[in-house]
Amino acid sequence: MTATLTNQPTIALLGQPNSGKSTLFNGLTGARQRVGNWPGKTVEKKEGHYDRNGLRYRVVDLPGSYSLSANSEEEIITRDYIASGQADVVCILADSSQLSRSLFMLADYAGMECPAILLLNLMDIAESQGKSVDAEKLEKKLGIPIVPFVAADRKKYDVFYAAVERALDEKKLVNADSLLENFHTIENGVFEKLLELLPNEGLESYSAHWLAIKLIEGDIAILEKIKSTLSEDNYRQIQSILSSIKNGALHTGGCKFKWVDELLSDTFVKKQERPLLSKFDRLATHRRFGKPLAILIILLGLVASFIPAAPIMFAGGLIPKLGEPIANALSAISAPQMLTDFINHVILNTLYFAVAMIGFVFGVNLVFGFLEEIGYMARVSYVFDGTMAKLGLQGKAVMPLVVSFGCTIGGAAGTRVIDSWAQRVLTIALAWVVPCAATWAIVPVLSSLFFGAWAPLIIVAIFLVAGIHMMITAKVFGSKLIRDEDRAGLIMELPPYHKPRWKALFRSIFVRTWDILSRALKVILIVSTVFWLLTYSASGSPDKTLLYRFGRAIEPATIIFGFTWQTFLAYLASMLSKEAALGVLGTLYLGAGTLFSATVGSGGEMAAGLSSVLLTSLTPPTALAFIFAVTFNAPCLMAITSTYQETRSLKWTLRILGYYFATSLILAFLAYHIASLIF
Amino acid sequence: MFTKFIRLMNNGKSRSLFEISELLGISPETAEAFIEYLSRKKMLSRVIYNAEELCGSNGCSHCSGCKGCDKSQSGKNVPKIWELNKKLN
Ligand SMILES: Nc1nc2c(ncn2[C@@H]2O[C@H](COP(=O)(O)OP(=O)(O)OP(=O)(O)O)[C@@H](O)[C@H]2O)c(=O)[nH]1
Repeated sequence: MTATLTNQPTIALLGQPNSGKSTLFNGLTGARQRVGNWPGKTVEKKEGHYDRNGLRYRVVDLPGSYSLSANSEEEIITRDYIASGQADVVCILADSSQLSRSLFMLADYAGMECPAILLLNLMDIAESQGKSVDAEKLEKKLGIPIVPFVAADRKKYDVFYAAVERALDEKKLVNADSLLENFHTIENGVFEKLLELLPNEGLESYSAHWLAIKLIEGDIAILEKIKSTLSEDNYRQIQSILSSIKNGALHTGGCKFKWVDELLSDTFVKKQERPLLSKFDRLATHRRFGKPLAILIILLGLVASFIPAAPIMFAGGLIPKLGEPIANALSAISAPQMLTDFINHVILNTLYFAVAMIGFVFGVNLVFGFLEEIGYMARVSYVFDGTMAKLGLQGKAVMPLVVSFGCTIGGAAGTRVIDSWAQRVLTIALAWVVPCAATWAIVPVLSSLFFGAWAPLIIVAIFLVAGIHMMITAKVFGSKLIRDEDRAGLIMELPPYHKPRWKALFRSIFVRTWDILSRALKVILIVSTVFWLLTYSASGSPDKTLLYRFGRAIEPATIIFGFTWQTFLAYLASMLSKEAALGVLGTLYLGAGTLFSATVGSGGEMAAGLSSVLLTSLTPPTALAFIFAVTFNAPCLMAITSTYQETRSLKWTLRILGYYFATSLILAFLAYHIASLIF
Repeated sequence: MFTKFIRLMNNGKSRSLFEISELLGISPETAEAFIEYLSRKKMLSRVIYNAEELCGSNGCSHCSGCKGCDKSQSGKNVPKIWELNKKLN
C-alpha cells in the first residue's frame, strides 16, 4: 500500500538536549531523511517521514534547546517554527530520569496553541533508578496524550503512533490553568496588567499569556514581533510596565518549576532510600542536634584512633632499648665513639618517634577517611554553618577549615574561592587554629608519653580549647577585618551516603600515613642531627656548649610560661614544623643527657630510653604546657609562607604569626599554672 | 517562588538543598533543577574548590608531594556549593 502524499500530517520533535530526539527521529524515519539548513540560518534542519495506515507522516527534528526563550538561534528557530503553524502536532520529549529538569520545556511550551503529546522518554533508565510515573493521572492534569517511552527500543513504537493519531484527532492543547495561577503571583500584578494590554487572541500560535510571560522575561524579539499589533498607547504602557520588572525570567522560571513540581507531586514516585539512613541523616543535618552529634563523632573518632595506636606505640618504645646492644657491638669492632653516640641519640630516637606516630596517624586517617568516604564529613561542614556565621566567616569558608584538619597549607590555598580579601585573611587566621595532621601525629605521642592512659583526655581538652581559641581569634581579627559585609547565602547539595570502597580507602590511608611518616622521619632526623651537633662536645660535657649556656640563661624567663629551656627550644622549633619539636626534645634530653652520663660511665640510663628520661625530667605541668604551646603555635614554616602568598600582605602575615606566638605562650602559661594546682 | 527563594538566600544562612526544597515546598529534584536554572541565568554560581586544595582534607601533610590523593575521586564527597552572585532584595 502506498501512502497518500496529500494531507501529510507534520510532527515536530521538541526536547532539551539528550532527551532522545535524534534517537526517535532516526527510529521513525530510518533512511527516509533529509538534512539541510533552516532557511537563512546555519543551523542544521533534519526532516524525514514514515508511512502508516496509508498516511505519510512528516517528521521534523527541531534544534535541541533548553527552553523557548530567545537565548540562542536554535531556540528562536524552534519557537518560530512552532508558531508558524507548520506542525500539526508537537511531540515534546522529556528525560524521565530527570523529569523536574526536563519538563521545564513543557512549561515553556504551555501557551503555544499547537496540539502536543508528551513522551516520557528514557523510561527504562528511570525505572532502573526506582522511579515511576503515573501517566494516566498526569494525562488528566495536562490534557494531552502522555506516553511512557523508550526511544531506543523501536519494537515498542506503537504507543507513539497511537498517541500521534489521537493528538491529530483530538487536537488538544496543554492545559496550563494552574500554571497561569502561578503566573498571577508574580509581584505587582505585572502578568495581569500585560494581559490586559495584549491582544486577547495572541499572535500566530502564541497565546496572549505566553507572550506576556516572554515580555516579563525581557524577550526583545517578542516585543518587536507584537509591536505592530498594538496601539501606540498600549505599546508605551507595556514598555513602562516592563521597565519596572527586575529579574523577570527568574520569577517566571520559579512559577514554571513550581508548576512542574505540582504536576509531579502525585504522579511521580521515587523508591525511598533506606529509611534508617534517612532518619540518621535528619539527625545528622538537624539544626540543633547535628552539631553536638558531629562533635561527639569526631571526638570518639580521635579517641578511637588510640586503639590501633597503643600497641604500635608500645613497640616503638622498645627501639631505644636497642641502644645498648648496638653500643656493645660497635665498641667490639672499636668504632669511633662519636658514631655510637650518633646512632644512639639521633637515629634511634628518630626511629622511636616515627614508629610511635604510625599507629595514631594510621588511626586518625582511618577514622576520618572512613567518615569522609561514606559522605558524613560533608554533613559536618553543613551543620557548622551557624558557627561559621558567628565567627564572621562566609559559608564557603567551611571547606578551607575542614581541609586544615589535614594541612593548613591546603586550608590557606582553599580560601582562594573567597572573593573578599578581608574574609580570606580572617579565614586563614582561623585555619591556623585547626590542628593539622602533623599535630595529630605528634600530640598523641607526647600525651601518651607523659600521661599514659589519660592521653585521650588531653586530646579532648585540645579540641575544646581549639573551639574557644577560634571564638577569641575571630573576635580579635574580625574586628579589624570585617566591615559589616553582608553574608551571602549558600546552598549545599550534600553527597548521598554510600558504602565505603575499602580497597581505595586503605590504599589512600597507607599512602598518606607513609607521606606523613617519611616527612616526620626526615624532619626529626635533620633537626636532631643539628641539635646533637650543637650540644656535642669533645670533652664529653655538654654543659660547656654554647647552647647549654644560652639555655640555662633563658630558663628563669621561660619557666614562667611553664617551659624548661629544652622544651622552650623545642617549642620554637615547632614553628618550623611540628615534628621538629620532637627532634629537639629528643636530642636535648636524651642525646645530651646520656652523652654526659655515658662518658661519666653510667651506661644504664641510655638503655632506659627517652621516655623515662623525659618522665623524670619533666613534671606533668611542664609537659602539658609544652603540648598546648606546640599545638597552638604557628603551624609550620610552609604554612606561614603560604599565608603570605594568599594574603599578599607581609603585615597581616606577621600579625597572625605574632598573635599565634603570643597566644600559644599564654596557653602554655595557663596550662602550666592550672595543672600545677592539680598535680 | 523566586521571591521566597531570594528571601531565604539573603538572610546569609547556608542551607542544604533538602532544606531549601522543604522551605520552598517543592521536591529536592525540582529544587535542584531550579538552582541549575538560576545558575544558567547567572544568578547563582557554583563554588569550585580546586582538587589539589581539597586533597589535603584527609590528612596529607603536604599536598604538593602527596600521592595519596586520587584526583579523580577528590571532591566526590565534598558538598556541591552554590552561592548568590549578587545581592538582591
Ligand atoms: N536507555 C535509553 N537510552 C536512550 C533512550 N533514548 C535515547 N537514548 C540515548 O540517550 C542519548 C541521547 O539521545 P539523543 O537521541 O542523541 O538525544 P538528543 O535529544 O537528540 O540530543 P541532542 O542531539 O544533544 O539534541 C543517546 O546515547 C541515546 O542512545 C531511551 O529511551 N533509553
